[in-house]
Amino acid sequence: MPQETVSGTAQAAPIVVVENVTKRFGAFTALNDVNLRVGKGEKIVLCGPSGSGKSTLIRCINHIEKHDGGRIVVDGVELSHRLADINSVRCEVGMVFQSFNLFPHLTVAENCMLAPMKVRGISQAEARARALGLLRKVRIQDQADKYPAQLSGGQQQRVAIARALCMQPKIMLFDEPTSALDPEMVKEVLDTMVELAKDGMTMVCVTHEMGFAREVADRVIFMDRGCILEEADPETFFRAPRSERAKGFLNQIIH
Amino acid sequence: MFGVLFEQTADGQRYIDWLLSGLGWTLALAFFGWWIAFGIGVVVGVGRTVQNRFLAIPARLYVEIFRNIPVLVQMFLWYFVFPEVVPSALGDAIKQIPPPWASFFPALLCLGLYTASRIAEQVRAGIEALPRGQIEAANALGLSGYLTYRYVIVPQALRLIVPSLTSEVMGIYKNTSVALTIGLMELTAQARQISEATFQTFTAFGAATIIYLCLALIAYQGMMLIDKAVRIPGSAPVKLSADADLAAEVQQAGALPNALEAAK
Repeated sequence: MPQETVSGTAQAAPIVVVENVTKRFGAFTALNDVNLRVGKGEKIVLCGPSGSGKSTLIRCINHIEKHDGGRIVVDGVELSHRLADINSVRCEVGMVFQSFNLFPHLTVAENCMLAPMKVRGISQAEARARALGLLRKVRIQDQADKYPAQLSGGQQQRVAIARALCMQPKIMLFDEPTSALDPEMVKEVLDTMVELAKDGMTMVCVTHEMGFAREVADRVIFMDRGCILEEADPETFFRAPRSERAKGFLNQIIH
Repeated sequence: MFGVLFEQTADGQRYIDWLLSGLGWTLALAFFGWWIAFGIGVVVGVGRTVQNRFLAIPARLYVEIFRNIPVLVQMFLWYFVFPEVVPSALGDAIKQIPPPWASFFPALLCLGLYTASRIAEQVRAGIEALPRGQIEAANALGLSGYLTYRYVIVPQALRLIVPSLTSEVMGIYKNTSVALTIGLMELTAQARQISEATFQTFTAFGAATIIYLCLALIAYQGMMLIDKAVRIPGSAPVKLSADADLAAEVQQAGALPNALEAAK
């Protein structure tokens, strides 16, 4: 597998290490011997055709999917089924889903407060203050006491970002955060993500938003059929993709 | 036609007092039985959905046993058989319980545990109807299994099943009439007693029927109020829209009755 690490930061202080990871769903191999290092503060964009394993890869990083082979180390802790307290790892890894997955029976603020109070054990007042602070950051503080179903898709996704940030994670994973949004709402979510990137958050994003990739990514990783085919800085990747599959993929998404 | 109800009985009361006393037992049995059923039903229903086999298998067994034995047979088992199979000291103590309570407690246990098995299946169906993403989101936030159930899954599942719980509320108070077979003088038993004392069968059972019907309507209205009170703001029961998310929501809402069918 050709693996060229472009950025030096990845070696400096890897916070996520993925080594020779495989994942199968029955006869289907979703990940085939994947290697990835994410340095602190690094922004990585994962792209590739549907079914290429990019979502599976980031879902393995917080152990929502359990990998079958290889090693994943997050923030110094190796993930395995023997790991007694996976939740202490998950506290450090925020995740934003394609379908938002807000808790519909809780208000926006309560969505943001639940895990900090119950998992981190902070007081209600502190949790609310933190939630409102982060909701302000994603420019949605005036909706704090509404319920998710009363918000637009873009607003819901920004709440989902704030909810993840309320746990003060060290890494943020984004699983196609804009794919379920109406076109006019994509920008507000991407702007939030760009801001987050500028604050120095470590981010791994599965996205096909190439403008976003150009603006913030340190590396773009192209996956196909469970393998990492290419890894390059965004300029190089978009200007001169090496593999035929990446060329074909880029042609298709940049009509 | 109901005039006979206001006539004096041999013991100096009026027949209507017999009916009201019966109504009291019926309501007490249904009310306390409901909370037993609801408490156990939620726990067993959750147990049906967990990965842990040491919880899932007993929960399954519970449901299969209590749901599949006719409620009349269960009534006899608790009243006649249970005191015989427990250690004799306990059995004797049970047999010492004075008359109304000697029938009331077995009936309470019987209806509570039987209804719990039915509620458990609905709780399970409600949990299984929730989108998978809810559990994933809770996991991703670091919530433990217990916290996920406590704060994310069960509150949503219970909201989903309020309509089907309505029929369980109605079911448990209708089933209280089975308690007459073990000698509890609840509403039906009193109606029969009146009919035997006065030979006014139509009046006696007619009055009982009207009372049961009124109770059903009250229970139904009560559950409608609860349904409204716990409904999540912004989520109307059915929304029709071209929007993909809403369509998915509607589909999920539609998935519940199917799951309930499967549960039956």
